[in-house]
Amino acid sequence: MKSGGAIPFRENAKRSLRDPDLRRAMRAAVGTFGSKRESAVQSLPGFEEYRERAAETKSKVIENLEEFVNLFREKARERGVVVHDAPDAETARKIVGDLFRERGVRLAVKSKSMVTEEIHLNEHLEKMGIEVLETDLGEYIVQLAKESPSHIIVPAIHRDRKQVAKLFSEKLGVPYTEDVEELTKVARRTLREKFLAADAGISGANFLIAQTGSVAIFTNEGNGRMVTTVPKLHVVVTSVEKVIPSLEDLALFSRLLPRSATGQVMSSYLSLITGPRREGEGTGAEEVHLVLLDNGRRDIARSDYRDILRCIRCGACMNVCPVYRVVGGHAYGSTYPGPMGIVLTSALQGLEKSHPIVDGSTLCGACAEVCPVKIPLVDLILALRREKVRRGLTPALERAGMRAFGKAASVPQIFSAYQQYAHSIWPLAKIFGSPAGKKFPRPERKSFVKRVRDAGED
Amino acid sequence: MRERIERFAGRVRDAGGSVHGVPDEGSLAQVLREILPEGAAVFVPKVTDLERGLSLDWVRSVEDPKDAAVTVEEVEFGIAETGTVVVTGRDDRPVTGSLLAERHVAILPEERVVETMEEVFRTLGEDPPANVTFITGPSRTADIELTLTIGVHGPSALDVVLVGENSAAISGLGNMGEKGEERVSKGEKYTQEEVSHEDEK
Ligand code: SF4
Repeated sequence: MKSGGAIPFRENAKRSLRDPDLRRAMRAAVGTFGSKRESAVQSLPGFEEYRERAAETKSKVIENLEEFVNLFREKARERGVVVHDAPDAETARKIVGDLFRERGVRLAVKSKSMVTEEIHLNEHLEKMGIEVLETDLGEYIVQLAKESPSHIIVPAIHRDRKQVAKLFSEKLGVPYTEDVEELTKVARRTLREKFLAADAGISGANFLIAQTGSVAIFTNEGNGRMVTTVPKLHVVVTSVEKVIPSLEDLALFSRLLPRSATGQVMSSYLSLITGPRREGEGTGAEEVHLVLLDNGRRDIARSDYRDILRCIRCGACMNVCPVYRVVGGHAYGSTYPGPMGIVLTSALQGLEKSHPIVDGSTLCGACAEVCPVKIPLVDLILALRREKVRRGLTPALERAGMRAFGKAASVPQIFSAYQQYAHSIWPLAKIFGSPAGKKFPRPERKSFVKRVRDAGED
Repeated sequence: MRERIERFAGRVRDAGGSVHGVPDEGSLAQVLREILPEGAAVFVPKVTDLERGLSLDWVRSVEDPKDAAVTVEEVEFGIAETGTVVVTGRDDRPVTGSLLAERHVAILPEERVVETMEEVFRTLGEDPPANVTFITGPSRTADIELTLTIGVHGPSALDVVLVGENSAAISGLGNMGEKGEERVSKGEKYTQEEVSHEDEK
C-alpha cells in the first residue's frame, strides 16, 4: 500500500468501472449474499433483540476498554498464553518476527486475519526469509496473485472462476480447469503438506473472552483449526476491541456473526482456544503467543467514532452497499473496504489520508440496517463528511458551490427560478461542455413540488 | 426429549451432515458397517469406554489421524439449536481426528444433546480444556464465485450417530443450505429421495 497522500478513491473507482472482469465477478457474487442472509436472519426469532444485546455488550467493553483488556490479559496469562502488547503496527511486526527468529521458524501457515493485513505482517516476515502461507482459500488465491483481499470475508470476491483457473494452472502447474470443486481440491492437496510441515501457525481472533482468557475463531474451511492445532507454535495476532466479557456473550455473538457474514445458522467450525495444551490433553499448540494490537484503537474508543469499534467484521455492510458492489474492495485503498472501511480507515489513519473515500457512500442506509451490532454507519459517515468540510479537505469550489446551493435550496422561489434557468441553458452545455466536467441529466423545467401539484390536478 | 433430538437431527441435516440413530451401543456396529467401507483406514481415539469397546474388524485401524480416511469417535455434546457437535482435547483426545480425515463419524449418546451453546459453556465452566471445537456440518468454502464447495481442509462428510431409545427411528442424509435447496454436487452420496426421510415415529 502507498503511504502518504490521500487515497485516490475517484481514480480507483473509475478504473473499477472500466474493468469488465471485475464487474462480472462482482455481479456474480453480490446477489447471492443478501438473500442467504435474509433467510438465515428470519430463521431466528428475536434476531432484533440479539442485535440490541450485542451492541450493548460491545459498547460496554469499549467504554471500559482498559478494564476488559486487563481482565483478558490476566486470565490468558494464567492459562499460559504469552500476551504481548503492541501499541502500533511496527511493534507488532517486530514481536512476531523476533519470536520466529528465536525459534528458527522457516515456514508459517496462516489463517485469515484482517489485523495481520492491517500491519502488513507477511511482507515483514518474507523479508526475513520466512515463508508465510495463506491457507484460507480466498486468501490463498489473493496471495498467489500477489494482491490484497477485496472483501473481509470473501477475499477473492473480485476474481471469477476463469481467473482462478488460470492462476492455479500458471502458478501451481496443475491442468487448467474451471471446475470449482476441482480447484478446491488442488488447494486442499497443496496446503495439506504445508500444514503438516509448518513450524508455526498464525491466526487472528474473532473474539477474546475476558472471563476465561480464550480466543474464539469461526471458520468454515477448517484451515483455522489446522493452524491452531497442528504446529507447535501458535501466534494469535489480534486487536484490543475484540474482547467480550464472557462465554455466554460468545454464544450470543455466534447467533449473529455467521448469519450476517455468510447466511449460515452456524459456521462449520468454532474453535475455542484457551492457552497451550495441558497435561492430560490431546490437542493444542505447545506454545501460544498473543499479540494485542492497539494501533490507534484506544484513541478511537475516546473519540466520536467509537461505535465503529463494535464491528465484528461480518462484511454484511459491504455486501449490501451499492457503491461497494460496483467499485469493489480495492478502490478503498486500505485493508478495510465498504461502509465499515470508510469509518475505520478514517479513524485509524486520519482524514488527511482517507478523505476521498468518505464520499463513497450514497447514504442509503442499507449498511446500518443490516449491521448485527447496530453501528450507525450513516451517522458516522456524515460526521466524517462534516469534519472533512470543517478541516478544509474538500476542494474550495465544491464548498462554495454547496454553500450557495444550500442557501438557494432552502428558499423555494429561488430554487425553482434557478431550476428553470438551468433547464433553459442546458443545451449550451452540450455545445460548450459541462463546467463540472460531468454529465448531468437536464434539470426539470418545473420544480418537483409543482409537478406533484400539477399531477394532482389532472 | 424426542422433540429435541429430532430438531437436532434436522439441523445437522440442514448443515449438510447425515444422521443415523440406534437404540443402544450394541447396535452401533450395524450402522458403522454401513458407513465404513471394507478395508478403510479408520482412526478411533480410544479415549472413552465406548470407543475402546468398538470392534471394527472389517476396517484397517490407523494410529495417527493424518493417515485416516475416516475418524470414528464419541463426541461430548450436541446442540439442538444449530445441529452442532462438540469435541474437546480432554483425556488426551486429538481433536485433529475430526479435521484430518475425509469423513468424520461422531457418536453421540442422546442424553448429551442440549438446547444451546450457553449450556455447553455452563458445563465446561471457567476453566475449559485448551481446545474446544464446535462442528456444524462438513468443511466448506464459498471463496470462488460464492459457489458452495464441500471438503476444503477438513472432512467432506459428517455422520452423526445418535444412541438412545429416542434416536432409534432417526436416519437421513444431509442436505445443504437452509432449506436443502442447494444440493451437494457430489452425486454419489446425496439424492433427493434420501433427504426427505422424516423421522416421525
Ligand atoms: S460494520 Fe457492522 S455490518 Fe459492517 S462488517 Fe462491521 S459488524 Fe458487519
